[in-house]
Amino acid sequence: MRKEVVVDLVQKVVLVFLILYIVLPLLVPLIFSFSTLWMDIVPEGFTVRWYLKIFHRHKYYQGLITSLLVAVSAVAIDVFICVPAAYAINRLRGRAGGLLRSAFKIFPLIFPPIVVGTGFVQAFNRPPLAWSGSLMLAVFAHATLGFPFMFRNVLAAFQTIDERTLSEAAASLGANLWQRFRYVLIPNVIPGILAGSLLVFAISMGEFEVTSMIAGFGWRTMPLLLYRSLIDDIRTASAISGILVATSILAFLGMTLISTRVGAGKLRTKGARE
Amino acid sequence: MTSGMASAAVEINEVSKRFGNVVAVAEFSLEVQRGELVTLLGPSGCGKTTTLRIVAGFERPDTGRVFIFGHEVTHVPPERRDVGMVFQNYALFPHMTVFQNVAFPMKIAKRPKREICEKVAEYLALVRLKGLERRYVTQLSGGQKQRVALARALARSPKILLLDEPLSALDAKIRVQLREEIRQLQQKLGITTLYVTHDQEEALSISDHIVVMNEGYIEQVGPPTEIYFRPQTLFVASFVGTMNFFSGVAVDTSEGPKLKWHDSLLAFPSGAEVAPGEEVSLGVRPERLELAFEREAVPQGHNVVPGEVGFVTFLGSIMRVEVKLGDGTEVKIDVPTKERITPERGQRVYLCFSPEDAVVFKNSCVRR
Repeated sequence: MRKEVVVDLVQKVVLVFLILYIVLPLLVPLIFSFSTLWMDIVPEGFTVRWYLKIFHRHKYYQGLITSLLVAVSAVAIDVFICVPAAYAINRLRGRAGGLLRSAFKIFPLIFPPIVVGTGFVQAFNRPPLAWSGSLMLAVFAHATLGFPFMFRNVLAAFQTIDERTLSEAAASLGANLWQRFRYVLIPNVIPGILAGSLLVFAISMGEFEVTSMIAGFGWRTMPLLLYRSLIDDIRTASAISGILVATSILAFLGMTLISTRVGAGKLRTKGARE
Repeated sequence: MTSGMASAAVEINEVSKRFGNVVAVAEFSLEVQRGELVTLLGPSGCGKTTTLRIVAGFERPDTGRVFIFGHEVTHVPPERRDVGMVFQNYALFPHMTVFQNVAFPMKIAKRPKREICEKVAEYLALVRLKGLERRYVTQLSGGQKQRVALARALARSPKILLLDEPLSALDAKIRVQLREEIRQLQQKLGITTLYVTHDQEEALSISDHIVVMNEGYIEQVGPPTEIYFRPQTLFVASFVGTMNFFSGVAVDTSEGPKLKWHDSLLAFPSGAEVAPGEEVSLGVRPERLELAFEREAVPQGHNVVPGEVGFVTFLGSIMRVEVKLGDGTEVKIDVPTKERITPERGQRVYLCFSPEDAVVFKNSCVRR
């Protein structure tokens, strides 16, 4: 009996430390961003001054808009590429199909971001693809980095709904390829698309390594501004972290809300079967 | 064959299909007449589903042609073939209600809203699902799901109905009930139907004609009674129902050729063309065999084989008796329980059957 109590206690202590270990580094900049002064252990004073600064200073405001624009564009590109790609690769039979399915799930995840960045710099620095430094290239880079996450989720969605049979049923009922996508497949894989979009969006909003390598003079994303501010204006840097975290959380909440709505029919399934 | 009133509802002409090195369907030819229900019956991997999928348009045959009501459809995509299909795993659209599922083909065909509502109500009434329109299909039982799938397949008034093992995923009781309903519905609508199953009982009970398939080839085509009582190959005989075999060599006797089976001489059914020295088998169904406890009780002209009673299983209306023969083979006999005979294990008995109830199989040409 006593032994169990001790074991239980140890487990809880370990859990608390684990949570602190994960949360503390994330929490510190947030607390810092709302404080006027932080010299000792406990911060002093509450202020939103540093956040207001971001919205008032054109440089930061512009950076936020750029980040959102790049993230949304990267998501759009990945949806546009991954939905047809996952559909096609899911249909491939035999060994080639299995190979492609696993390859696209990890590609380019297995390459370090610095290598991907180098690749982008080298591939796009001479005509006819001299896009180095352009915002469009940042969008392509983010879409590339996000690709496996979108692909993975959409492919899983196609696999769980037994796409082939649903498509055949729809075809036998007179639906052509476009109608099968529009009325049957897309409504059923939308939770996968949304989950993928969330991940790509979050990855893009926080991306630093590749972006810093291809960044031009005309634009800065939020993570780049954050890095610059760390040196001279650590308060504003904290506020930028706060905004990035808030965007991620908002995106997450939004996606969860939509996917529970869309997946409501599916959730009901489980209840009915049990 | 071209278009015209005389053409069959479905004509499959010399169709072959292989997947890699595996021959799925080989030189398959079949005509299905208007309003008929034809079953493709066979073990898994015999090519029955591939044949159905070729008719539906989901697979392209390597060679051969397919006609529906006289029009060649070999290269027509499934959405323009005007066929209704019911799948083994229902294939209902999970994000739609019962109403939306049944309305789907009409919505695609851009029918007016009022017509769609009327038709959906009509077809849901046909499959006895009235009142479930607003349910999501994921909330239904297996039997209800397949009824929705049936209503959906029929909603566009297709020229032919294709069913791919529609009852395999259901409980035994619902299976029997639903197969009767499918047959009644099919006859009521007069719709030409191709039905794939591996369940011989299902095939026997609902078909106008049965096509028994094995390894991509047709073994036999015929009405259920012919398939059951006059199987043409050993495969058909053993796949459809239970068949007891007596195999041996034909010998010449004063009463014409007979089968020498150990110490017994068994007569062939009249009209059987058997030459002396030929290796042949006599097949007899369990319900065509009779049990006699004494040699004298055997009717005149019957073939007789002595044996010993083994396992006896009581099945309600019949009793299935296994009889061990002299050479160790076991023969199954169905004895109606109304005859009030109770064979005991170890009892010496005589099996007898009229030669006319036996089917002759020549071992030399069992298969192609």
